[in-house]
Amino acid sequence: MSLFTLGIARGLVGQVLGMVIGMLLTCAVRILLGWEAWAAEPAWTVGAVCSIIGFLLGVGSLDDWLKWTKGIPTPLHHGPPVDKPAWTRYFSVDYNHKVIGVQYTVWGILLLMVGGTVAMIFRTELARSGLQFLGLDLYNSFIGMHGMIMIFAILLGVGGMGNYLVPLMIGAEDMAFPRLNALGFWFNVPGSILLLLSLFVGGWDAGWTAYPPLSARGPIGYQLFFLGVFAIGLSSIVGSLNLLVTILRMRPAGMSLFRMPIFCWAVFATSLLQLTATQLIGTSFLMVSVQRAIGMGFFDPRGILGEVSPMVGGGDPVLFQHLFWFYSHPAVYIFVLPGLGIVSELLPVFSRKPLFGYKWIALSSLAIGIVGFIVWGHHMFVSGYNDILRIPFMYATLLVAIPTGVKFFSWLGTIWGGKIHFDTPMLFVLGAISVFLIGGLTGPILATVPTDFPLHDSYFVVGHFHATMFGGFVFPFFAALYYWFPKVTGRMYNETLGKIHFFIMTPAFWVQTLGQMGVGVMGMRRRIADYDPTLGAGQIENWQLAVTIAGFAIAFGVLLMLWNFFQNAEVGVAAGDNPWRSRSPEWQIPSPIPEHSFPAPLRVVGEPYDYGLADSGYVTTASPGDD
Amino acid sequence: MSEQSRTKRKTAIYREGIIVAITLAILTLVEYYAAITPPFDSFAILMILALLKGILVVNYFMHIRSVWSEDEH
Amino acid sequence: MTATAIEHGHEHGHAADDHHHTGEVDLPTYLEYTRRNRLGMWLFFASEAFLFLALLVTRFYLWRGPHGEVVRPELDQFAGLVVTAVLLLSSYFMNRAEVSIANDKRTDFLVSLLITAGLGTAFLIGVVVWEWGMFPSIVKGHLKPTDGVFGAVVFGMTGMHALHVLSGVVLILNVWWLGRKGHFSSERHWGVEACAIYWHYVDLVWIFFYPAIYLIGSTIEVPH
Repeated sequence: MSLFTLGIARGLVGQVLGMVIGMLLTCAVRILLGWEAWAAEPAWTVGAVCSIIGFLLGVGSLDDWLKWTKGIPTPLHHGPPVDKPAWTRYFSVDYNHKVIGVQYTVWGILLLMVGGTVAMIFRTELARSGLQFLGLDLYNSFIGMHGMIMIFAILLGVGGMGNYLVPLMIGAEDMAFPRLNALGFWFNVPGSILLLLSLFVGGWDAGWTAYPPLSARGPIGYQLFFLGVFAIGLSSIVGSLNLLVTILRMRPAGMSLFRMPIFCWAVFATSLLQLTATQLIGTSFLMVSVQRAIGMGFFDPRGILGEVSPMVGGGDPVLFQHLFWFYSHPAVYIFVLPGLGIVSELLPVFSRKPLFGYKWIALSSLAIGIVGFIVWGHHMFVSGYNDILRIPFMYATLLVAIPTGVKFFSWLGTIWGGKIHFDTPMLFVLGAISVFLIGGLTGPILATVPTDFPLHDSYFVVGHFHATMFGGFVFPFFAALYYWFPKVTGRMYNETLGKIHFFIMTPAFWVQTLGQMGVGVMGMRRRIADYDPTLGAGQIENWQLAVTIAGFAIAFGVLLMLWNFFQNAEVGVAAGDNPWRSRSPEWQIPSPIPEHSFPAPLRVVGEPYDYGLADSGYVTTASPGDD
Repeated sequence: MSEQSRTKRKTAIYREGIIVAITLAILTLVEYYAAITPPFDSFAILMILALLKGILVVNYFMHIRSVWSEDEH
Repeated sequence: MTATAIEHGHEHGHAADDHHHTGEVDLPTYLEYTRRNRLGMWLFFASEAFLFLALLVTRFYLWRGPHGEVVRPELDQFAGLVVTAVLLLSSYFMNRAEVSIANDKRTDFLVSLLITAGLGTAFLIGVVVWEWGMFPSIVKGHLKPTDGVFGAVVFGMTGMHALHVLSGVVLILNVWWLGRKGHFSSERHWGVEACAIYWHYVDLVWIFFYPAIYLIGSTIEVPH
């Protein structure tokens, strides 16, 4: 078997070829126009565009559609590839949503480790004041890189959970558009490669938000960064479209929207945001990109006559912030809603009680999504935009606390008086609630205009944001990994190691987030490589050191989890079909799940979360003839 | 459906397309002349005209109702 | 499929009564596939709408006079009206093509498609040659992309739209080619419908772009 049996190897070759072809094409056009043949920025930009196409062609994700244009029918192939080892399907284009879900998750975890490593590097730098081993530009590239890689990783994790779980939870055969599903995953690979490549062509030093005018003047790395984000954005859009159609059109008879497992509601709300808002980050980055490439002055304040504003005809950098945050604020709800869905999904299973207020939780996801669209301006309180915009954005932001509060109280209502089982997934769910509470309570402080002014751009914001991301995504994601690991592999992970992971990571994270907030209040600014050691009555270095140590502890915990999974995926104790005694459809079928998940269409016979109610079921997988 | 009523329906659909196209053309001209005739050149009037055209296209050319209707088409 | 038959076969004693038991997946009907495709297509439109809305917002945010009033650069009004009419006419022929294939009128279907593609190309030429002035020897353009926000927004909006027109024309020609080989029938022509609604969507975007670029606001002299 040669290496090129693997789609991903062909894709990487395609990406390199695409890059070279794109560069040659640029040179050819420039020669035809009578210009100097080589110009680095256009060559890299066109090359990067072609490299994405090259990867997709190489991996074979576009094969079926190319056949359609010629009118050749392409029946869907089920099962592992013919005359190749079964494991190769995880490294090639495969249309089964369970394979794609695993691909998303694994690639997401890989990026999580890359992003974490970058964070460890600059956290080490920050443990002491003064510059130890990082230059200023590299430090700036690293903080932006950490942010963007983690965003990619989170989007991949969200995609992985959605793709793997939603069709199983609603008893669908697969996703609505399997080919689009595969394309959605494969966009991520060239996208993340371009992002990493950007470090080698100058990096990008304006942080992950890439505000112009800095991003309009920085090194070539920006163009690759923009294109990497485009690729991930396209993945988000097609992935969410697919999930929406699946949820809306592929539920079995009897499963009304309010009888779906609650996680599907979270994915539904997330997908609505992803489908629409993602366009805005694409548009704003495209505008910066063309401003760099051909001088279209969207954000260039110099007017037509080359004079600075208020000359008519000058661009406005604040417009970029509006467009950018119109995606990037809803983006945080895209990240956390599925995680909160996991919390709601797992609590009843481990409390052996019905989910408290199903409809309220379902609608609160939707409400967070809708309100999320009208709060972007709270990132711009100090941007110098029109003063009268501040108050509505402040109140809209505070409004988010209501649906989020609904979720918290219904979680409390669910565990209240339940027979709680403290298995590792449940521990992580409880950890998620505690951490998200920290993030949630510090939110209104930043949403309120007068308190935001002194805290804006300080490490307090960093602490708040990490608490929401860990509480809303990382902890629930880890809970989900532990919870569904037996379903995916058919084996049980090591419970003791899982608990050690939890008891290292949770206190470490508390130290990290509260420490970050602490140094922020002392006056530490974000995105800065060095700080004044006399801040906080000379105590700031100790705090910074504590945050760094906590960061390393978290990293150790994550490695422990991965080792645990790696050890037990093949040889662990057989887990059985339903180790958690869940009512959800995916646990009523064998582990690992067969190629065609359900032997017969699901029949809904009860409510999804009636735990503790004798003789009640949610679904049966048998066909009517078997009763 | 009888052959006669089918033919009738076909003609009706063809005629619908022509009527919609002519209405769109008229609205475009109205839009153009409104824009060069103050005080009709306001943002609101021009956007309402565009919205009208948009509704016609979405409804008659793009058959938006087929997204949720459960008919056989 | 046979692997599944083995996997599931033992779970059901009496196999013959319905086709699940042969291991065949219960494939949805063409109609059900079409419904999913249609919903997917409309969700794609919803997504794209945000891209075009962002461009519209940019136009109304940036094109402001010295006192904050809405302004626009002086463009060739005749060119704008002609390309708008051409696109509108193409939408009519696209509709005609779809109605024709639904009624099994093949010749009418193919001819209408070709006319649509031709009008689409005419629109593209109108924008690129007439409005952009890409070939100054034929028509001299009014604005360059580098002319401050006026050039940037005109080229940004028409450029993004032209990209969609171009892809639409390619799609129409592909459908025409497949149609000539006899690929669509009055019962099964989702491909034609998808192409048609995509084309109408491109038209729909222009319905809002045309007044935004050419008509709304007082004209302002753009110095070169």
